[in-house]
Amino acid sequence: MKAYGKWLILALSLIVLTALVSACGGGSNTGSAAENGSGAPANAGQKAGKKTYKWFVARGVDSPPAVTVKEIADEFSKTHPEFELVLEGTGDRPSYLQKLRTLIASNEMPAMFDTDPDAYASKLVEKGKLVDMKKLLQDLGKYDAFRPVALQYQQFADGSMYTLPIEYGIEVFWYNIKMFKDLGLEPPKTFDEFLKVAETLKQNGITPIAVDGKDKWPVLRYLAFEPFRMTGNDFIENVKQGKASFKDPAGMAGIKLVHELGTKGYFQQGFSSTDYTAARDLFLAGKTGIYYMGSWETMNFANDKLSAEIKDNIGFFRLPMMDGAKTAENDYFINSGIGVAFNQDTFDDTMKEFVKFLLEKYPEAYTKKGQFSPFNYSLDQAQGMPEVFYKIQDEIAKSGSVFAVPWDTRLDPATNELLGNELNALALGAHTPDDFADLMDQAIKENAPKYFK
Amino acid sequence: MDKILRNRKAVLVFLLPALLVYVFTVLAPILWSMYFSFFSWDGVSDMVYIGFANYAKMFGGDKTFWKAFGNNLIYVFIIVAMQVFLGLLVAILLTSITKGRELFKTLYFAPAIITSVAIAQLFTSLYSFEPVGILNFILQQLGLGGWSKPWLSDLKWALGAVSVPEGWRYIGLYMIILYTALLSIPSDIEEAARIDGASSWDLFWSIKMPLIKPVLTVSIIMATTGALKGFDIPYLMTNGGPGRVTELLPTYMYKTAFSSLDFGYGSAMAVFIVIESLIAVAFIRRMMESKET
Repeated sequence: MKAYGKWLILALSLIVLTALVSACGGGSNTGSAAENGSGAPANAGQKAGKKTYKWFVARGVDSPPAVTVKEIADEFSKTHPEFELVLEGTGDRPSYLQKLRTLIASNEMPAMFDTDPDAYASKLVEKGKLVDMKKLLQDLGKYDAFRPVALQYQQFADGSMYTLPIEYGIEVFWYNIKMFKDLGLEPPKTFDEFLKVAETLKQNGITPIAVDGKDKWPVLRYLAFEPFRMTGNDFIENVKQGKASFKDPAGMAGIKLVHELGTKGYFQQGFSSTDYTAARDLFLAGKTGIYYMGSWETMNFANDKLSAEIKDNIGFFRLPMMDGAKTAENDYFINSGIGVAFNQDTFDDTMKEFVKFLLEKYPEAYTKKGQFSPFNYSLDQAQGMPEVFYKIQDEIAKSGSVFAVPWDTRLDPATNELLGNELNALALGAHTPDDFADLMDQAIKENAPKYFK
Repeated sequence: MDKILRNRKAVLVFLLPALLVYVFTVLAPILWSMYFSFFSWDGVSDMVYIGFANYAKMFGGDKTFWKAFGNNLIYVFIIVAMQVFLGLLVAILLTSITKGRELFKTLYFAPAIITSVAIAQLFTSLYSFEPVGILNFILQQLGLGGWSKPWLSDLKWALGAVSVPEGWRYIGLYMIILYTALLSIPSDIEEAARIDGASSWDLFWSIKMPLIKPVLTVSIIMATTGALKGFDIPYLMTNGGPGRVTELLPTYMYKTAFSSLDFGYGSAMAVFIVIESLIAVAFIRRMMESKET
């Protein structure tokens, strides 16, 4: 009986071990199969296998740009059966970036992915991992089809470009026309007027400004407004390397504005934990007078689901001016969104052909979704888009050629992380403007040398 | 089967597969973290060996690290108090009712199976000030409007506000564990004590408590280590902000590694969290044992 027991044990443990080992083996088999499938150019003469390209999307797979590209990719697959584009996306930017950076750190860079021309991307370029987009667009004869600002926005400081723009947006202050009219307010032209408007709204029991504090970048815009008016983009380009200080007039002006807007209660209470949609909904529900956001939201302001009172009462005004401003009234934050980078290792002929196909089809398909494309392309009145769409389209046509760059694409990652955190604290009154400036200068002194030489 | 289990070697063989999995999934990552913690690495450039510089920075000059450490202790305190002591209270109350016991048990346990994201969303809207959330609405209705505030944006209250959801969530789990322990006390012990004239309090403090102490110790250890690596709900609700008032060590570690792209320093913090958890376990064991004598 004893011997029998021993044999039983041996047999059982063998089964368990075999199962484990085969599980591991199975895993690696499918792994290598997937590797063969993804991106490796099929040899001529050999039967072309299916090539799966992954696009790691930062905006959510159901966002208009992603949906449009996917539709065009599916159309392309009809004539190129070997091509397949797979989207994987997350709308939450911080977790997107973390996942992307982890993938890249473990040598699994996707065939396409969304990235800003930031300090991190420039390191990838240094390592030769990204496709030179400027050269590609010139090769394909498409470079001049774009709006100049759309391309400039994607460039690094040295003028090189490694990301393809697929969006275009101007940023404006949306406001509630009826609310302004009732209180006898005019859209402000200067920052002084802006603060006066905010004060009047507040005194009449209306929260002046809705802002998404959770995502940090919308508050960061407020910090950048006055420095942009005073110096163009010089301040941020200098301060990020420690060549300027936040104690300079431009820096302090920005800091003081955020401090004032926050501590005087011009932002909604609890803004630091309000997310993107909640902030927008506050404005669309008529709870706040002003909401700063890009033109990519235009269709939401013409949405049939809005109450009639709100729907026809949404207007917009430009970034206010100030005395001694260096930038013109029609210069403000303009961007072509987060660009799409292509992995040099998986960029083969099929992919190149796909990009060509995409560039042909994209402008019309995208604009018809009520979006503004980075191409020189516009819709005429006959297309029956909502009125506010055409108003923004006109505004885009009138916008200047100098545009403000988002600070979070310029600073080094560590300083950026700190700035995002402490900026909300500044608006809540946890720092004095001077302390905040010191804190930032210190962070830049510590972190910038690793990224800017 | 009994014979097999009595054979030591057999047991060892059966333990082996689990041990292998454990080594690969737990021990190896810890060792890797230790290795990474001696480097300066941003995930793209080459790794640079810098010895103990990350640790020196951590213990020396990093105010945020110590702020996060302090926050973490408060977070642990609130969570252990809620999970173990409220859990114990509910368990005791459950033992003294007969009707509807299953219903109460299920209801209290329900939050434990809801995902973190849903809980974070739920509490974010509950705490909301503009538009007004349930908590502030109730305060206003009770005539306590002065107490209503944007909890998650309040520099003083935000840390407490992000601790409560995690504590609340697992009250039911510890309730079940402690309830089972209370049930396992033989009823004749209780009856004997009653006959000897013990009051309900005596019965609880001198009879039941000592008998469930091993389970209680395990519960406290689980709740403490769980809270020491607390991450998801605070991260989702406030992302460590405003400023650093709700920053915990794990959120700071995560952000350092993945947002600030300092994998080496992040790894050093990860190593610290492991050591800190081990110390906490040793401390709790010591404390619970010394109480016995």
